Amino acid sequence: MAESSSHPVASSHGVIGAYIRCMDNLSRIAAVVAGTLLAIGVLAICHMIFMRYILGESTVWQTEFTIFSITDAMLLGTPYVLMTGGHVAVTALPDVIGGVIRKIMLLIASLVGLGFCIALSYGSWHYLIEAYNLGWTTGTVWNPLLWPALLPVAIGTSLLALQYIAEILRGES
Amino acid sequence: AQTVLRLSHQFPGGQGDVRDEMAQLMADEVAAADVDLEIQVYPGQSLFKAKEQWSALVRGRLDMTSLPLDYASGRHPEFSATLMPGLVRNHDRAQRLNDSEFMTMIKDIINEAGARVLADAWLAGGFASSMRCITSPDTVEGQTMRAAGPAFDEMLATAGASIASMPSSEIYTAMQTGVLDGANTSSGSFVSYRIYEQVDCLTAPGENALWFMYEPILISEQSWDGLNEEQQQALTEAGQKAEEFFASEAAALDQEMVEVFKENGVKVVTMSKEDYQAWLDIAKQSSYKTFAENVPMGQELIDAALAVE
Amino acid sequence: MDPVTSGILVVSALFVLMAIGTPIAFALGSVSLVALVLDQGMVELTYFGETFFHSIASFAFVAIPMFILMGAAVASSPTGRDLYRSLDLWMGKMPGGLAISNIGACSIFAALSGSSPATAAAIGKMGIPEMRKRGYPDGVAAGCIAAGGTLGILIPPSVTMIVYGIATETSIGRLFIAGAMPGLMLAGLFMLWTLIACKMAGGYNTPNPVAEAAANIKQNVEGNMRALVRVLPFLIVVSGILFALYGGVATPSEAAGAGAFLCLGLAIVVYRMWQVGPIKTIMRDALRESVMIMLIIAAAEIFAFALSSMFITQTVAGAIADLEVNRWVLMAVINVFLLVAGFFLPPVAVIVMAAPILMPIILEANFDPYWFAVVLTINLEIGLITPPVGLNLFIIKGIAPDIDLRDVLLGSLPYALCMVLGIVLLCFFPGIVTWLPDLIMG
Ligand code: NA
Ligand code: NA
Repeated sequence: MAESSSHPVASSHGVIGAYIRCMDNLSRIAAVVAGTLLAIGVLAICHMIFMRYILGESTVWQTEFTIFSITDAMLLGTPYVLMTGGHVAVTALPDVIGGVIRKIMLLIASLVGLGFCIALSYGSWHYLIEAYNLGWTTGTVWNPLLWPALLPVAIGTSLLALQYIAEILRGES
Repeated sequence: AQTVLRLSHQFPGGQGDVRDEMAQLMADEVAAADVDLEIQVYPGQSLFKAKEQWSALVRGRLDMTSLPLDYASGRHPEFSATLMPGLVRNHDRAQRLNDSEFMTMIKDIINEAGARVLADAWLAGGFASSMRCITSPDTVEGQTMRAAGPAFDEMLATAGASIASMPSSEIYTAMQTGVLDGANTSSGSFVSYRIYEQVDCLTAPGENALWFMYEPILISEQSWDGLNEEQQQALTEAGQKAEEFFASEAAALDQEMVEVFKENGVKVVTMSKEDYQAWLDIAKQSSYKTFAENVPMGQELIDAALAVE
Repeated sequence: MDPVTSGILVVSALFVLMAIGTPIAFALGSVSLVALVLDQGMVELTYFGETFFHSIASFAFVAIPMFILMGAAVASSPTGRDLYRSLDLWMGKMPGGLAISNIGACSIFAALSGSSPATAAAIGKMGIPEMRKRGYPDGVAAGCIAAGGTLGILIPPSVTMIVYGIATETSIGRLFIAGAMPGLMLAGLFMLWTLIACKMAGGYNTPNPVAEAAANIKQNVEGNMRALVRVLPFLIVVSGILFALYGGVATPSEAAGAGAFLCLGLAIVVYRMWQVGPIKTIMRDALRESVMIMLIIAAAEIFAFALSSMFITQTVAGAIADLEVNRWVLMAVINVFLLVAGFFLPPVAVIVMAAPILMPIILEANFDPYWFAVVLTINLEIGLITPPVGLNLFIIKGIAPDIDLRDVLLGSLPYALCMVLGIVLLCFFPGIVTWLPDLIMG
């Protein structure tokens, strides 16, 4: 039982080191945006509570806005959580076996994770582009355009895949 | 080998919900037709979530569904016309509407998107309030209302109501705590969410109902094309039977709501012809107008629906 | 392929991926995606982003990150330390008193936070080093924090109860209250075992050295009162929020939003944390934990969708429903299943996958869905302190890396048995669960 191992900031030189450092920074920026979106979501809910319960006025946009801002925060935050080793993994078996087999097991595990993240990122861009091209809205009372809610998802999942590559490179070096 | 069609809907399975029974009836009819075709019903969102069914259907990820067509209005704004105040009025008129130019236009959009209608179904609904009976437009003034869609919201707001948006499952709590004074939803939801425990007055559909919603059984065009002629024939016939079954049950649903509310000591009223006309006038200045301005063919759709006798 | 064969293949593939160290969320997600593509075609890959996004984009689910944010605001303030000091002063003189006050502090902190790892971390950071300093056996020190921390998801608020409420369409407010009494009961059982363990180890008899205590007593009393005064506002805010929820005034998401906002405000005012640093820490901790949990929930939702899509869920549920057995035998079978699932998967994943299958069976066998929620939660709490996937064990390892894993596991095991005993008690006295919700909500 362990969280996937977290690595020190890359110290290697050359293209690989630069790539890793670049991804680390991008993931940190995404995390700051995600934290802000989470906080904004909380404020939107509080605004709704104030309008609905205290002023007794109509509330139209807050619920949907909160759903999107917080869900977007969760997906934008994934690359940072990957970088800091926060996605729970069971490395007990590889750790017990050790040696080359451990390395191979963990590499396969990483490649599976990477494959998943690429698929997710592909699917997210597909959804975003379709929603943008066809001008989809959410079909609710507020009825905003859907694509702005999907943009952070596509960016977050793409960064996740790119960060996974950085983690694999970091593990090799 | 046997072709299996997956039918998804959001209503409770095996508990007497008319829309679930409609789906089961189609499955039974198709099985009885003995054309190597099976309909597997996934009730209660056990496969796709309610709002994801349309998208799954038109992409061929799902074969069949029974859903409120308005759920897809984010992708096809024209579908809002199937949950537009005052366009249907009563069950008899709903039957005539099914064969009208209005429904031809709606079904053309459904077909273009990649689905086809197997069975039509129009559900009625009403208003309930813990403040005062909702009949003429001035009765909603000052009430905080939960409406069932943008078009209703706009009409109610124009008549002077304050709007709170929430899913129908939250109406009960919101009424209990005084966040809501009144609500507007289908007869079935009013009963299943026990709204009668929280209100003093029910506006039943009757002859002049403002609230009607279209909930057809649809099949994906891709799945339809994959069937042979016999199978298509069997599905069409099963759809016809399901539609007839629903038409015979629809009015009974309203009657059941009225009885349950009366048993619980709730006053039951209906809208008069004059009330209905007054609401229609407000709708024309508000939701119809917005719909006509924002939706291609919006005005034509409204005109076509209102033209039905 | 028939549903049973494909079910076995899917579950085996999941276990292989998890065993080689694939993060759980990615293992769940990739197995489901491959199964869906093989079963339904490439269209599932094309629309995977849409399916994934909508599996967590709902108003009910946003309550989870906000409850976690609320807990993080409380946790990053010195509340844990304050709580712990107050209790230590009251209980420190009795045998095993320090360990017992740790469990007490865990219970109170559980009422401020919705997550178990957060509870273990907040109290453990102070408690484990202190207990070891005063000569408690490593196993007891680690075990009582690991187990006490699991109360985080039983004593309200609870992130997993929210997921259960969403999955089974039961009232989240009622689920929360249902967990309160069983939570206290478990805390009591944990304390009882701690006493016994300390007696057996002979390690209880090392309280504060007397001289130190005498010198500090006056200062301690004052510090104690001050500490209490500082913890009190959090307790008031959180109980106010929860009462709004129970009274039906607020939905869980509204309660969570208001709670997060107010606790963040209190952390800033009461603990003077208005610099950028502490607020950044709160947001970072909340983001890390909620992203981890929400990603697992999303992946588990996709996994459940894949199982349902391949008719595996329906086949399994039908087979269980057709078992012609006594309802208590059925309950025992379900418990063993949950326990085993909990060994390998985090609580939220088990609930997302199992609750929709089990709910109709539970209702059919005439069990109360709220009572079952508590039984299920305790099963999953056991999973939090057992290998291979025990989130709380990971927290303990982070706090005290030098305690041997074997000691942690052996120290935690008796607490797991306490929980089994708790489940048995609930079977005999279901009123422990149902009495309070009936009293408050009718
Ligand atoms: Na808790
Ligand atoms: Na475990």
